[in-house]
Amino acid sequence: MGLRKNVREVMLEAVPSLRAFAISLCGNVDRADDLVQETLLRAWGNMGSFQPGTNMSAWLFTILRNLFRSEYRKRRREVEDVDGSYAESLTSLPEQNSRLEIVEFRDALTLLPSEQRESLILVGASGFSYEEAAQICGCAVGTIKSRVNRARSRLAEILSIDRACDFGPNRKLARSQIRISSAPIGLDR
Amino acid sequence: MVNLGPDIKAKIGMQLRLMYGEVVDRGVPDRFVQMLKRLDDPNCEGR
Repeated sequence: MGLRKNVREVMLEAVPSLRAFAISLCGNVDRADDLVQETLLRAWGNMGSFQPGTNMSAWLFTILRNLFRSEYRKRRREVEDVDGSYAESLTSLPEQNSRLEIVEFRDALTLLPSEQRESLILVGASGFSYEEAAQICGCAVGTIKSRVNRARSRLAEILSIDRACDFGPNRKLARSQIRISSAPIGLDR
Repeated sequence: MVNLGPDIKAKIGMQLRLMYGEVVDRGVPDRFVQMLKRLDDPNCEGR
């Protein structure tokens, strides 16, 4: 067994979250998996630059983000899901509403500027602190806070959320019910 | 910038975690398990 068994285990533990982050950045499962693979290879090859005692997960996220951004600079395109692979891959969710809600939410996320999107995901979903997210993105803590706030406001705007219950696919149903209930009484009479 | 109430922030957070968690729950695809195995022990012929 290799001497780096612990490192391997820590890396494997980080894979599900790295994939979720990668998918949210590029919107395509296959491309996200290639990004995760490249991240793990880079990390393994540069283990000497990792500072023991620091957060390996944050280090891996930093590598992935940098890889994505350098690839983006080359490709000049950021969010793509040309084959709809992400939406199609959402088959494990039992409820149609959950699927619709996730697809709708993800579509709204793609409309955000990339810096806002990655900040919101790192803090709101990956579980990093503002400080860790700032380290991953190479910017000030205040910048991350501002990006997260702007991202939330923009999402609320895109998804037309005025109230917490006014959200997701159900809100269309709720609105149609409101329209029906507010129709003039006795219309059919 | 709109000042969002805590309930809306919570709702956005919940949606975010639902979307993210859906991928996390899929676990580790075998390609990564095999790749790290091979890196860790080059003599191991991972399939």
